Amino acid sequence: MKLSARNNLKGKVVAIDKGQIVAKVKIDIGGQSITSLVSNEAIDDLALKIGDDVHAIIKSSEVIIGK
Amino acid sequence: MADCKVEAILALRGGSRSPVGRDRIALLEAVATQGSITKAAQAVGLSYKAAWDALNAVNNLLPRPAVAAQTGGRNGGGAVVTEDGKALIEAFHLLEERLSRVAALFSAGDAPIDPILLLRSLGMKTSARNAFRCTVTEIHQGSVNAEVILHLTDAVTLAATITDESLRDLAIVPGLAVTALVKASFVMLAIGEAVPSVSARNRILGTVAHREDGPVSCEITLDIGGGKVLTAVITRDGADELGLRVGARAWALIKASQVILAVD
Repeated sequence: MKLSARNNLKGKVVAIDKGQIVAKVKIDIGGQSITSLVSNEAIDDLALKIGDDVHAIIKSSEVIIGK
Repeated sequence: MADCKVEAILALRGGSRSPVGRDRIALLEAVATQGSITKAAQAVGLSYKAAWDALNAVNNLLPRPAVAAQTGGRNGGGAVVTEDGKALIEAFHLLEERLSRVAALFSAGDAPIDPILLLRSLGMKTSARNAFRCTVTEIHQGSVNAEVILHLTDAVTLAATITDESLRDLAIVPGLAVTALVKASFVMLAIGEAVPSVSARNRILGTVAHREDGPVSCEITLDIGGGKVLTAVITRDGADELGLRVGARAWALIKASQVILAVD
C-alpha cells in the first residue's frame, strides 16, 4: 500500500496512555518524540504495544511551521 | 518464523485496516451461522462493540456491504451476510490456501527476500478509523496540489486534496480504486436541515448509530447510507450541545485536505 501523505516517519512506540475513548501514543523518531492521539479501537486493531516499530504519518497540509 | 496468519491477512488487499483478515472472516462466518451480531460476537469471543466495529470496517471497504444488519442499539437486531459477503468468505479461503503454498516455497529457502518483511510492507495498517474504498471520478490539477473527487456511495462523493507529487507517485487517474483514510478526530459534526454553509468540501448527512462517551471525548458513529458508517471523535461537550443521541440526524464535515489516499 502506498499513501498520499508526504510525511512518513519511522519510529518506535515508547509510551501508550489509554483513556476511555482515545489513547496517547508517544513515538520516538531518532531521539525526538512525536505524540499521537488515536482511538482505543485503533490501539486494539493494530495490537499496538511499547517497543513496536511504527510509522508516524502526517499530511503535509497539517504541519504548522514555527520559526 | 513464518507466520501464515500474518501472510493470509495481508494478502487480501483489503486496504489500510486489513478488514478481511482471518479474524474478521471468522466473524463474518459466525454472523452467517448465528444470524445476529450479538451471537456471532459471543461465538468468536469478541465484545458486541468490537464485532460491530469490525463488520462496519468491512462494509466500508467493500463496494457493497458484506453484512446487512440493524444498527439500532447496543444489543442490535438480526444480521445477514450478503451475497458479496459470502463471495468474500469464499475468496478469502481460496487465497489463504494459495498463500500457504507460496509460503511453503519461501520457507524452502528459494526466496531472495524475507517474505515476512515483504508481506508486512504490502499490508500496512493505519490507526485512521475511517477507511473507505472509493473510485476516483475526477481530478482537478493545480500547480502545487490536486483535488481528487471520489465516488463513495451513489449518494456520497468525497473530495481529497493531495500534492501533485502524491498524485504522480500513486499514479492516481480517474477510474482507479483507492482507499480514503480520515482520522476520526478530523471529522466535525453539525446539525440542521440545510447543508451547512461552511468551506469544508465534504458535508455528509447521516444518522447517529452509536455514541460512546468518555470523560472528555465522545465517539459518534454516523450511518451515512449505502451500508457505510463514518466515525467521529469530538468533545463530549460538543456532542451534548448538539443533542447527538442515537437516531439524531447530523452532518459530518471533513476538509478535503484532511483526507489521505492509499493505493494497493
